[in-house]
Amino acid sequence: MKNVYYGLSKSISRRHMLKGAGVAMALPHLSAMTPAFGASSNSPLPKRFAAFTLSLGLHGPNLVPQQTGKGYTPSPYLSRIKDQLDKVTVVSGTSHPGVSGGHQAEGSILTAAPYSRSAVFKNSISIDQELARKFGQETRFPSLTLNISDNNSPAYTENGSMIPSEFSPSKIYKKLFIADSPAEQAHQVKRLKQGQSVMDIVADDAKRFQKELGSGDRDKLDQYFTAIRNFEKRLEKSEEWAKRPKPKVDTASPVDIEDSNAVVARMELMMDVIRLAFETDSTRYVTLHLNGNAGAIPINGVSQGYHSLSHHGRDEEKIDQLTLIESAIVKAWGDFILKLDSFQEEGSTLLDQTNVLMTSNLGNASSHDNKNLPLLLAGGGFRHGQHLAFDRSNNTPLANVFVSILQRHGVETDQFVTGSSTLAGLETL
Amino acid sequence: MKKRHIFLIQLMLGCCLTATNAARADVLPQSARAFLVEHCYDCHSDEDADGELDLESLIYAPNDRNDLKRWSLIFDRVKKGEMPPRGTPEGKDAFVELMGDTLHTSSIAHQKQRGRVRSRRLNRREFENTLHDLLGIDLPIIDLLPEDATQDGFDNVAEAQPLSYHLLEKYMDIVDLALEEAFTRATMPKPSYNEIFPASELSDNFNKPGRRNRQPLFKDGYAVAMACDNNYHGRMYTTTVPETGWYRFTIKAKAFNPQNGRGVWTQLQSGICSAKAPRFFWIGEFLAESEMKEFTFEAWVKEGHRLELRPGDRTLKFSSVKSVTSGKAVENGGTGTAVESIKVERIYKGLAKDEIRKHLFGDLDFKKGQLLSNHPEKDLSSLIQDFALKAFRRPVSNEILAAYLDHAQATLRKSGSLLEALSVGYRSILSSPRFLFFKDSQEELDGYSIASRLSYFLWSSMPDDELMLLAKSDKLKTPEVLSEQVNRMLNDPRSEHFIKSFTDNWLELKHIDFTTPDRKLYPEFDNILKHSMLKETRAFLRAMIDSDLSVTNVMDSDFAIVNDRLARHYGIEGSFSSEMKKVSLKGNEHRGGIITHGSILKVTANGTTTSPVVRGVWLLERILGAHIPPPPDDVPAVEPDIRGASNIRDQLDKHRSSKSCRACHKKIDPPGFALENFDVIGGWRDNYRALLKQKKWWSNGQPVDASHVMEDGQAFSDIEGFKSIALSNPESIAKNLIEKLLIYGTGASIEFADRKEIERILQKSKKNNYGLRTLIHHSVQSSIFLSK
Repeated sequence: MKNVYYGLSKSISRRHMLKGAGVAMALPHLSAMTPAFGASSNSPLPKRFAAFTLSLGLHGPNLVPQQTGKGYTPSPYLSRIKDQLDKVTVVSGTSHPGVSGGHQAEGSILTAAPYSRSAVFKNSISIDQELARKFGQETRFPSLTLNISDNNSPAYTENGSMIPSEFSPSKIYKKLFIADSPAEQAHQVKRLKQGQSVMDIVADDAKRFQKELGSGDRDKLDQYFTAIRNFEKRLEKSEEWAKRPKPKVDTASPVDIEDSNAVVARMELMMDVIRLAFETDSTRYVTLHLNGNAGAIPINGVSQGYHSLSHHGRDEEKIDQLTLIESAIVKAWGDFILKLDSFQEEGSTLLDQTNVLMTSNLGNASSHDNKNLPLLLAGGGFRHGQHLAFDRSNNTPLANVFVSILQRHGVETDQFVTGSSTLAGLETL
Repeated sequence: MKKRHIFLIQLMLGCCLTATNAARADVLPQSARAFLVEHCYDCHSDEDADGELDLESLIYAPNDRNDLKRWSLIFDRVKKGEMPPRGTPEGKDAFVELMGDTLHTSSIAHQKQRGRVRSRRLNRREFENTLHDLLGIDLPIIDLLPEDATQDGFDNVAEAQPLSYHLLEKYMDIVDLALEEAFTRATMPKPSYNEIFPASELSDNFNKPGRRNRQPLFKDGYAVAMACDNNYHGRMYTTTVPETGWYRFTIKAKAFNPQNGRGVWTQLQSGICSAKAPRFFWIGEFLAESEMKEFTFEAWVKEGHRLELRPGDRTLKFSSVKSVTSGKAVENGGTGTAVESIKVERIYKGLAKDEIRKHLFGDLDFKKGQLLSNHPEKDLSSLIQDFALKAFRRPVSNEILAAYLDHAQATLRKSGSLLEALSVGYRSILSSPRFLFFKDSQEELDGYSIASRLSYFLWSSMPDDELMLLAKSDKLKTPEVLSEQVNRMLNDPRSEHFIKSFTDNWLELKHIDFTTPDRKLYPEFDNILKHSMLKETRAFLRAMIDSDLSVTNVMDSDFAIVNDRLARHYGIEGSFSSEMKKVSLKGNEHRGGIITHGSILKVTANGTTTSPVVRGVWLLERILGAHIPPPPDDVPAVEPDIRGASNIRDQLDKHRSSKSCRACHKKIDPPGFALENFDVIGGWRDNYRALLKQKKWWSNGQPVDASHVMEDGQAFSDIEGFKSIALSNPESIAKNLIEKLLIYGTGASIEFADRKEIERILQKSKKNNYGLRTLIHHSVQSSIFLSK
């Protein structure tokens, strides 16, 4: 039984060996087990990335501090996460060049692909998937694509296909942490094998199918091949992982929140699952999208729908209500950072190894403006604690931040779509 | 300056390559370039060129669709005389002719080589309908798939359908789900549920203390749901359903204390109906009148969810929350809906069990959990073959089928179960690219491709037996047969799929829920109104198709189709009921045409404010077929202000003072302002509504001015004036609609090469006054529809 679970890499410590796999899994801190799931113990700690994307932006006057640089006076929103501000960089005056179209630009939040109504739009890979493609093979899930209430996401594959989101925290928890019974495991492996044989047939036939079609259809069929090949690879990997035990965590399974208006509560619940996924190295790249199609969010003082509040038309009462919602969102984000920072991982904290981002496609939802996007960045080995202010009338490409992050993750590049250098002023530790 | 040298070299090379002026597919003729140099380069060169168009560095690469689009736009602006801005340039006619030929040649060459529609696949709506028709089931699966991306506003355009394994995985999961449902329906007894609840079991009974639970109030033998703002009032615990599935609800109800002789519009929803789970699923609406009547609804309801029934018309006088919770409302004249009884029945939509068996098992008998067959291998082969023909929408060779068959046969040998072998075989067929993709292999479509294109156009689903037979006998290509089929399909109830998804896409009705009108500004808005709006627009399009009404009806009509709720909203006089009814307009109602439907006015607003810019662009692009480029990067958007002090016209005037804004806004603003008298929910307004401090509800703000001057100088003072100007050019409305029909019908954007054929369709439709049915016929008969 002993070798079945891990294929025992040397990095599992003697202590764990002595206790036996089952017991070891129950240890509170899974970080010690990480190498068994991922790289060898000599390699540096795994780097992670989490992006929280908002479809309605954050009210600029409440977010952007008056002063720039270090030692700025926190804006109303930032004062909600005062204690974390030394771990956070707030960036103003950035946006994605060539991206317009208000809500329609949602697809470009993490891809920076130019979007305009009048051209044929082809999206490209999002930053989380770029990382997952390069480094995501070592964990049970290459990436997690999450949403609080539907299956839309800001995560796109290389050919611009949106990755559908999951939105049930309990289901994700189950996938990540709840052990399948041997019978379930066997059943799953059988199903995966069946799936593989179907894929074999289909892949063979797709070759024939492609020959029957014209040259214009080739691209699409190539995509189909790639999809099948990747699907097969995934099935294989899943089969491997299905045979390995899942990490155990102390936290009980979350109970899904039925109230689809409870945007912030749902966000917090999902953040807990994300944190656990990072702590157990089940995945390293996560996106969580907050869509705006909720009614009145259950927060004291809020009586109107989230989306309609974002169209405040400068009405004070609406802005007040919107402020209550967005303060809670920023606060939840800050709490998430705090939790990552309190998790020790071989001499550093989980936050030190994780780039945590919050941004949006809208800089001003009331006028559907895609300029001056909100951008908060925490952790991940950058020197924080400042307000990096760029020209509000001539924005800096937001994707420069993506370049900075890619470099931190060890990708040798100075380009990500419209980003052509690292973000000026954002220094590594 | 370096660039100019490169250009000169290009120019010289161009001379050598194009000795004659005959249009070539891949080269811009030298004289065309020379025209641009002379008349356009002054403004449009270098990086900071006007309109972000740098002609100098714009090479001619027509194989790139965006590039071709850009050149088409340049052509159009010169042709229409919009550019160059001052006067008609010398050599314009020659340029237009040459450039038009060149673009046409390039575009045709591109289409010939690569096809116009390239590997379109089933979108999620088509996937759901197809699985339903193929398996005889009715399982709501559409929400399990992500929303399809759109191109040109349509959700079925091949170019916007990239594929990844993530998506493929979702499709596969759904195939499993659908097969499981079909096999369960075919082989297992179906659970039944059938209960009738009298009023006493649907209501709070105030004779028994402690039973007050937001249920309807019990009065004179009725369960009375009151018109009130009390959350979850009207929920009925006894109606909680035992399992997820389809249910039929038969409700006997009448109005309770109706106001001014009006009926009581009542809404029916399902949900958990508690503060922890406030989400409702809409079932439907009915108009309770003084006579007791029976209303029937069918809905998919989740396990543990129950009904909530209550008056939903917010123009009724509401009882106070307190009087409802205390039960007094029912005694002191409050208005409500009185329910006598509700029958809850589990039903099974889709086909009957025997029919599903026929779909899955052919003529084989199913007894005692077994498929009876004397020759299981042979039967398996022929069943798989039949299924593949339907699923692939065309016959396939034995060679192709072999792999699918072998797989099923292997399962049969291993398991000994024909049932399992069939299920495994069907699964592999539904995982095939031949199921997911449209196979249009030749330039000129064959019968099967036409059958598919037609049925996905007009039914959003797979071709039926009749279409498949016509495809087989190769008769579909004959114009008479094609025309017969189009008529048959449009008269078939399945064409409701077309009405719904075409209006969802073309008119953006799918976004009706995108924003919720502000309760303080628009207290009269309710879901009954919203659903009535959708019904109105769909019924209007249906009427246009049924009676071949001219497309000018999109702009203006002498009739409207409304129910009681909408008639009151619009201020149309007469007697109306819950049914949509066609009425003649006198002319002062401002409700002729689709563009003044509540649905359109709502989707073009944001719940709080309207914007002439948004509405103007919408009208130009959706109705008038004009192209409006997005605003330049460096121009800040106008920020709405509802505090009552500022005025959109002043804000826009400021915005327009710059030259680069004016070029487009002189087109956008007139149609946008024409709709200015219509508020966020499509109501008529003479003044804007404003939220003033310390006021509970809205107050009248500044007066509305809907007048404007068209680009060509014609002035109008309100919507009626605008409509009559727009009606003088029915061709542009017809041309636009032909284009939209063809984008939706084929799954590809309109290209330059399509222009001549569209012009031909337009000419052919003229003698029928551009009737909508005529446009559909001629579009289907066009070379665009009948080619790859």
